[in-house]
Amino acid sequence: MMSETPHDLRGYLFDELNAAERAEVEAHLSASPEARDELDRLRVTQQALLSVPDEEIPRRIGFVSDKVFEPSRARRWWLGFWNAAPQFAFGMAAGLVVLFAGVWTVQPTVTANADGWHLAFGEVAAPQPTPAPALAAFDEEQIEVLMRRIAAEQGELQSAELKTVFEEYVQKEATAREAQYEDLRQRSAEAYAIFRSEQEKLRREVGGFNLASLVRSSER
Amino acid sequence: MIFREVEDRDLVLRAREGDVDSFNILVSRWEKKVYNYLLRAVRDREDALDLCQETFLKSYRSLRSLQDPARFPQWLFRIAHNESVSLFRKRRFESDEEVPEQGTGWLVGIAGTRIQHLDLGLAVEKALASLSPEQREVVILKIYQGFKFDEIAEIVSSPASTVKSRLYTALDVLKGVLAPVAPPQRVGAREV
Repeated sequence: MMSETPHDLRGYLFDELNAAERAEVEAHLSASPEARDELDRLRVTQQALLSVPDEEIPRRIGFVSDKVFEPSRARRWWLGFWNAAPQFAFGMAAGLVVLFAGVWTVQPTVTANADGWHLAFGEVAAPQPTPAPALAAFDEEQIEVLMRRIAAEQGELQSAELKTVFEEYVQKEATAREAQYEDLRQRSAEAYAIFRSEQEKLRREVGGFNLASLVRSSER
Repeated sequence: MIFREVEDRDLVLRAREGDVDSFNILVSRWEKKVYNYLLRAVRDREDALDLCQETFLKSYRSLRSLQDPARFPQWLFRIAHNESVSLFRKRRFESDEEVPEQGTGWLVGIAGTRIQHLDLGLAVEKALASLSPEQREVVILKIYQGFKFDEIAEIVSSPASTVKSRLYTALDVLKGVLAPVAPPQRVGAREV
């Protein structure tokens, strides 16, 4: 009868024992022919199993570059987006910025009236005047009143135009007169300068002669 | 072996960054081992090839879920294991075929005879076929792939003690077929 093996010979065969356990098994093997026979049978079994070699693969596994491995474009983007935390955080931040910028830009306004809810963007426009009803809906008297109103409005428009033209004319005349005045002033200044020059020249010609006495003598 | 592990880890890291060539190298390196593991497990070449393709496809798509790139082989074989389990379930559902349990039945006839070398491959194949799928798988992972008990436990999602029990039971069955005890010599018998 085979003596009791301190540790399982199968663990010894598969190298699953630590150094101390292996030493105990080896000591037992050296003393027990039955244990050696058992270990031989295990080794034969292992060798028999390993005698059947691996087969070559019939055809190569498709590589990543092959279509079978190629994820869809959306899936690639989605995986790349979710699998990169910094990109995801940046994307979220950028999205929020765009969202707030959009809200700031379009300034959505929600109003409610009898027609229901209305969404408007930008500044709310002033209410438009109700368009005039069709002409056929008026009788002759109403049409006459309407034509008078239009004529009065036209008259007011013409008066306004004349007023504008007159004001422009007055402004133009005032500008022209001012220019004439300036011209006259400049010419007067030039004449006075010539007079002063001639007076000075005469004084030099008569020497220390007094113009006033000369005038008086000539009167005499 | 350590150098090989470092290489695998680097390739995984590069593949994660989008380097498809690195993943192609991993495929080239592991396709034969995964294929043979699946072939011995499911015992059908076409099924093994399909499952192998599916294994690498899933591994590529979920590469970022691999927490420790150095454990790529265990992770890869775990995916292959799940694929084979799915196939067994599908087969069972489709054909309701009984999976042979521990092999003592028709293989008993082989025991007690000397197995010739030419017959060895067939004998091994039959011996493995006599095991339950769970037993056969741990034998393949241990004998052919060389994984440790804790690594096999990780691959098949079972405790290491269960893995050890399955393997030892399977090994006793295989030993009885492939290394039978020689019949006792009769005293005075003459060799022919």
